[in-house]
Amino acid sequence: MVSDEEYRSICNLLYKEARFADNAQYDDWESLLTDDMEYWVPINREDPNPATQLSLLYDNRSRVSTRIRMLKTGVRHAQVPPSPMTRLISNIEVESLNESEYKVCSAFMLGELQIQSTKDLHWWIGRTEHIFRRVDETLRIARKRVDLINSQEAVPSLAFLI
Amino acid sequence: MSVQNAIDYSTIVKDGIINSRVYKDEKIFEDEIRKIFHNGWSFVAHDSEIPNPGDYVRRSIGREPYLVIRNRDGEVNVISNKCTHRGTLLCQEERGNVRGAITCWYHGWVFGLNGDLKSVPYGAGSKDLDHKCLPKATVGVYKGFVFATLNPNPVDFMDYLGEGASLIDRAVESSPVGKIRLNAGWAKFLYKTNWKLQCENNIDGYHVNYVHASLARSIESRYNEAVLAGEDELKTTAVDWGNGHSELFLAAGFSSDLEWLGYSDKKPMKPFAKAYCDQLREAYGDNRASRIIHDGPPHALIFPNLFLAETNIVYYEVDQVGVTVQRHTPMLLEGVSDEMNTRIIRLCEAALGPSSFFLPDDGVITERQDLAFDGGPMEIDLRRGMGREDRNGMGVMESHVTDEVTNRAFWSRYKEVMVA
Repeated sequence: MVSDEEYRSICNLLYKEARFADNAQYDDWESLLTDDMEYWVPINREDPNPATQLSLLYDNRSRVSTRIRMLKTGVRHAQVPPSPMTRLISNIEVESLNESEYKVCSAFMLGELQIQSTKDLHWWIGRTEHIFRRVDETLRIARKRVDLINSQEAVPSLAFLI
Repeated sequence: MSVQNAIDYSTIVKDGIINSRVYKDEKIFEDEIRKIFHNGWSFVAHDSEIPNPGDYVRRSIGREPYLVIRNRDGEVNVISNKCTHRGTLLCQEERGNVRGAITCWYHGWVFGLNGDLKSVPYGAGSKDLDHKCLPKATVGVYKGFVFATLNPNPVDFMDYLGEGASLIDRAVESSPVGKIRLNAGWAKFLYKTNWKLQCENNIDGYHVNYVHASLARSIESRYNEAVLAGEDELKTTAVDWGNGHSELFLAAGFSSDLEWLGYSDKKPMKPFAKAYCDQLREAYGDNRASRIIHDGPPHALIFPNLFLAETNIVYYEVDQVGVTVQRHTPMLLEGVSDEMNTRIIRLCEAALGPSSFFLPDDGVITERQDLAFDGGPMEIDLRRGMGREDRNGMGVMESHVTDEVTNRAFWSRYKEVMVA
């Protein structure tokens, strides 16, 4: 069980992360991460093992930094300009893993305007599993796994922060 | 098609000048489906995807649904995935095993692994059952790469493949036992462009500085040679291997071993990478192994739809005139450590696919091309380097990496096929 206060601070972090990602506030988004953060979007829905299976992305912390640096160059064409986006987060379930970590499961719907070329409005839908860790009294994101309902189908550019 | 309505490809595809109508015209697209994908050879699968009898993967020839399936004798068949009764898709899953026979869930018709009709419920009332086997494509297999055509009398498979065979040789020799396997799963990237814009892009060595500027400004990679060097300093080349097959020979610009695996003077090899080099030396001897360790697998397009993308295998599915699906998977190697193959999977995620560091930028730039063509036809100029390309020691056309010799190779083959 987590206390109401813990639950509220976890929701605050979820919503803050969503806002930073939606608004292409790349530095602010990165500031929420732990030094060993892992960012993962699997493809295979039955056996997503990253050691043997291809993912859409499987970033260690250093690769996340590269991703952010690219987005900040202003010439990451796939996100120039950044996609106008809004994501709704719901069905939040929290499990306390140990003294400092929580597993946070949620569902999302993300509307993205593909403004860089086709101007299609695309819906990204799926579930997120976060690991939040308290580091020096601050709650940070240690892991983010995003399972898209259509990860095995043909998807358009996913160069933004999902 | 009547003579009046025939499309005159000689005016659309000229030497190095392409009318953009070729990317937008529905009639041309239908013509391509028939002449290139139905009558000619295209890549459909790798036999490592279906190791056991009854294993299948769903693939398309043009847009026709087919199954690539292994029969009881271990042979690879490519058979229609449409029931010959009323056309329902027989297999809906992307891959699986049919356990000895394929049963249609509409009326219970049962087909064997060679496409033969085995039984129908209440058969006495059915007509012409002798002619209801599943149509079979003609199949050619080279080192596990499965190609197919709906033409019962196609050009000889090895004649079509030509020097493409040596490109495949150079891909599979990355394995110390000469075998690859594609079982890490496929990613599918949706492009709102004509398929040919993707073929052009992946063998274009001229765009790196601009399309991939964000990556060059963010990390050091093996593509930096192209990004930082002046025109005369670039050592990499563009090669026309004939039959529409072409290559960007990136290895000419590599300054250290296993650069293609992400290693360099500044990033020394990990133990598994050193062990991999030792395995290659033991398997192939020092000379050949040194070349493989330095060069890595090729960056080459095999006409019309297979892209040997260094440590990845890519192919294109044509969907609509303006919609293309790129499928890609890491080229896993037999006879190497699990660590080595995991490294190849991570490279694949970095390079290809909708959230990689390269392809989303290629995607958006080519989508902008496709959108711009809506305004009306224009002449695309692919003449760069024309006149300075030369036949190399092997007798193939080779030129500066930024020269459009590779794109001209594609279009010259395209024209041959389309006017036939």
